[in-house]
Parts: sequence; structure tokens; C-alpha cells
Amino acid sequence: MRGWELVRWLGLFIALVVLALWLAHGGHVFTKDKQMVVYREHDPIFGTSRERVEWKPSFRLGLDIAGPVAAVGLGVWLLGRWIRRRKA
Amino acid sequence: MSVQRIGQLVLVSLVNVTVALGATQLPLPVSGKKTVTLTNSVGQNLCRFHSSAPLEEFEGTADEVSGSFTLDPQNLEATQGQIRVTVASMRTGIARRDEHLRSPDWLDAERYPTISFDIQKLTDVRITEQSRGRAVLTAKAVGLFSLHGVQKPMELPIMLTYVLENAETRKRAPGDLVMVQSEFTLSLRDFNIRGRQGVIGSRVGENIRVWVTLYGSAM
Repeated sequence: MRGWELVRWLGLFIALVVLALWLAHGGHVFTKDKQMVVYREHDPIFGTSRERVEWKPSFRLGLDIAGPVAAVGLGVWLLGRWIRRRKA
Repeated sequence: MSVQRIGQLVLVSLVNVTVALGATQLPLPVSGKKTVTLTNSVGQNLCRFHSSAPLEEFEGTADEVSGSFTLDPQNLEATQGQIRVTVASMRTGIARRDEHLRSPDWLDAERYPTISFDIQKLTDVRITEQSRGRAVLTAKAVGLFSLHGVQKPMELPIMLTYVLENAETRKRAPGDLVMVQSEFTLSLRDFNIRGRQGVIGSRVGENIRVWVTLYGSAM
């Protein structure tokens, strides 16, 4: 019984951590694996600013991964709660 | 009638003929037609695009941009050429989405590996800035836009900066240098791009905003 309690609270913990991470990564719908980096500098020849763009590897968690993981975590927590009430 | 007077009359006549033909001259001492070839040594040739839909906004780039165009300094309206963008070079920050973008449901990179714009002429040419060795003009580039196997006549607004060759420009490329910037909107529907059912309008915008920056050297 005590082991199940641990799993239950672990489920809630994982769900909250994943949702917090998703928010910290910008709250995007889809997970991104690269980030566009724009370098701007003054171009004296053309008298305007010159842009150079690079894509750098950067993992940003999206709701497409965070959503199901959080749902499973919450599901485990709710299931544990239901079992506990049923046995009480 | 003095020789000077005859000279003035000839000059006035020439100017009148030019105006009548609607030809705009580059206000720089450039002689003969120039072929501008795009090169990244002058600056990064790049297309940026932005999609806005209720479920997602994203930006992307295409960095394999090539092509050339001929520019007649005496008649800027007669500019002609072709600009090509390789579909496989398009990036959006999500590898899976990039794969979808190139798939048959979307741009079908295998059948249509390039997006191109055939410049047929320039209209509404206006010299907006002229300083020592540099001229800036705005115009509309009239031509055929080819995307996903569909050709559509389009008028794209452009800003062209022409810089005469000097010690600084030679560090990047030989010849005069040219920069062209353009900003326009493409409708996916116009080019028969349907995508997977329900995606356009929810996750991908029906209209895509595009920014293009081209750099080339004129020889």
C-alpha cells in the first residue's frame, strides 16, 4: 500500500514538473529541436543593417509531449486517490 | 546656331525620348548591361517566412537561394532574370515539420525541388536615394512565380541598392554590388497547396508572409 502511495505522489510530481518545464520553455504547442538565431550588424557598404540567420540545436518542450506525460502523471495520481478511497 | 546650342538640343531630345519610353536610368556612372549573380560572399541570400494560425505561429528560412538577373543602367525597367530557392533548404525549427513541409502533401520537394521567380520587367521604378557611389531604388518586379508546379503572374515590391565597386566592396566580391529586399504574401491556396486535412487554417496560416534578401555582384 505504501508503495502505491509513493507511485501516486510521484505521478503528481512528474505532471507538475513537466507542466512547469513546458511553461518555462515558452508554452509552445509543438516541441522544437532548433532555434533560429538572427545576427544583425550594420553594413557600411549598403548603409543598412545586415542579417545573418543560423539554426542552433535547442530543445524546447511543447504541449505535444508535455501534455500526454502530464496527463499520465495526473491519471496515476487520480487512480491512486480513487483506490485509496475505495479501500478506506 | 552655336555648337553648344546644338548639343543642348540633342541632350534635351535624348531626355525626352527616354521619358517617352518610360525608361529610368541608374543615377550612377555605370555603362553597359550588367549581369548580377547572387553570391553569399556579399551577404547571406535568404528567404524568411512567417506563418500565423490559431494553434501555432512559426518562422522559417530557406538559405539556398541562387539566380541572376541582367540590369540595364540606362533602362532599369528592362531588368530580367530568375531567382531560385531550393525547397530542401527550408527550415522551421522542428525536424518533423520540415519533413512534412517537403512531403507530397505540402511542397512536394521531390517533384518540385525549387521555387522560382522569373523577372520579366520592373515597373514603378523610383530612385529614392543617391549618394556618392550608391543608389537606392524601389520598384515592382513583374514576373512569374512558380511554386508547387503552379505558375502565377505576380508583382513583388522590391528595394534595390546598387553600390559601385570600391576598395571596400572588393573585399566581398569583384564588381559592383547589389542588394535586393522584398516583402510579400503568398497564398497557399493560389499554389494548390492543400496540406493534410484541417491543418491549413489551424496550425499553418492560409497566407504566408515572406521576406527576401538577395546579395549579388554585377559584372
